[in-house]
Amino acid sequence: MNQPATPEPSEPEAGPPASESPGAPPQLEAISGRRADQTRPRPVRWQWSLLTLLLLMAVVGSWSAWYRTRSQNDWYRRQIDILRDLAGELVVNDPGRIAAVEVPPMWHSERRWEVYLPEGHEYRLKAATAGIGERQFPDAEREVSLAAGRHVIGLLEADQREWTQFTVEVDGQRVWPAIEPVSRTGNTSGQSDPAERSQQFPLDRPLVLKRLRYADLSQPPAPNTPTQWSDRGLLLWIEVVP
Amino acid sequence: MLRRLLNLFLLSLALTGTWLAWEQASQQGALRERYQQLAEKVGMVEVEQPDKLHVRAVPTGEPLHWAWHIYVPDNYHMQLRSEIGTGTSSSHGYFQNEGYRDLARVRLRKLDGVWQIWEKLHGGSSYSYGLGEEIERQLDQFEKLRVEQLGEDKLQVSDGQEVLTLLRISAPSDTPGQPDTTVVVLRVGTEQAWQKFDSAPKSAER
Repeated sequence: MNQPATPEPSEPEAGPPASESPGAPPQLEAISGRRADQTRPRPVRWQWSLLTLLLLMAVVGSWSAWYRTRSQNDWYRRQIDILRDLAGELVVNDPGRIAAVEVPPMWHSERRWEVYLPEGHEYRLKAATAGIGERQFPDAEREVSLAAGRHVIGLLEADQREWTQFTVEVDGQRVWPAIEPVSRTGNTSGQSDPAERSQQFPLDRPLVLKRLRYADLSQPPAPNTPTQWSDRGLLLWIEVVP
Repeated sequence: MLRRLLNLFLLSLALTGTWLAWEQASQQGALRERYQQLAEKVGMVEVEQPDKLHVRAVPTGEPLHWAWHIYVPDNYHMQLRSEIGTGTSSSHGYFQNEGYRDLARVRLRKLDGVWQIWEKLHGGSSYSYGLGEEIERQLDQFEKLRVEQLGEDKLQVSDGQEVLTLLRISAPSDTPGQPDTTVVVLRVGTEQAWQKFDSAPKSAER
């Protein structure tokens, strides 16, 4: 008497491999469905090993840690850029070029610039009070050597009734007796190369810290005419010694 | 075989991820330190509402020196006004389409026996030499004066509709019920806020 076909655990060793029964008679397959199934190629079912799962977790963990840390670092970098500009910090990206920034002022008529002067050159800080045009550089009335490296140059103005007295400092030390008197004749026009944000400048042209000119009032100003500027004022600049 | 290849691939991915994460983490210490250094210098203002004015006081370490880190949104026309006692007043303003950050600063100094005040807001500053006999007498006893600084305890966020009092230095009244005497007051606001302020009835609180 035939026993009904009962499902058995599908262990590979329970039956012959499919390759061993290629020519099994059809009636035999009808009797045993199980055997017939085993003769067909079984679909490959992927099984996750513990190692694979652990590695997968390590991949997810490490890359999410990278993403999180990178996002935090990007945030810090953005904030540092913002705060560094606000603090007026000197940034030297190219050590072969001059870098300069105007230090945020701390008191009336006190201007300071932090400058970086590249190695391998000699520099002079120069000042003139006459012959100051829009762009030209007159002969210096005062000058002092500056070593390569970082310096803070200060320009302190003391306004008196008819004139202004200028004091120049390098790294907190006054370098010349006060430049005085510079007659003041009303309006002034001022410009500086360094701005509140750190910038770099080429070595082949002077770095103007302050170009201040007074209005020319030798002729009474006519209405609706542009201000005429005198060649008097103060020019403070740094240049490379050739 | 396939599983082995997959495991090798996952291993290399995990190692690369770990190395990159370690590289980022090793940079973070220096970045955090640099950020904290700068934040100590100019204050830390995290702008969560970019269309609003943000003000935070910055410690200066000097008793007669006050500073604020201010975030100004786009299209705000800011104006700073100062009043010294009931007399001298000065104002200066600045307009920029694009939002910006600024370090506003106020300093009081007694130089050569004369009290002087200097205020600076983005794009302008003002200076007064000699603040009047009564004010100078009160400033000589600075420790008796009351100082209120905006944003000292926490970040102040404003929609720009009200004038903000950045600094008020006042002399407490000796007589109960009498208002304090204002020595120095500095206010900042947008053009609209100042219009509203100027049209409002003046009160002792102001």
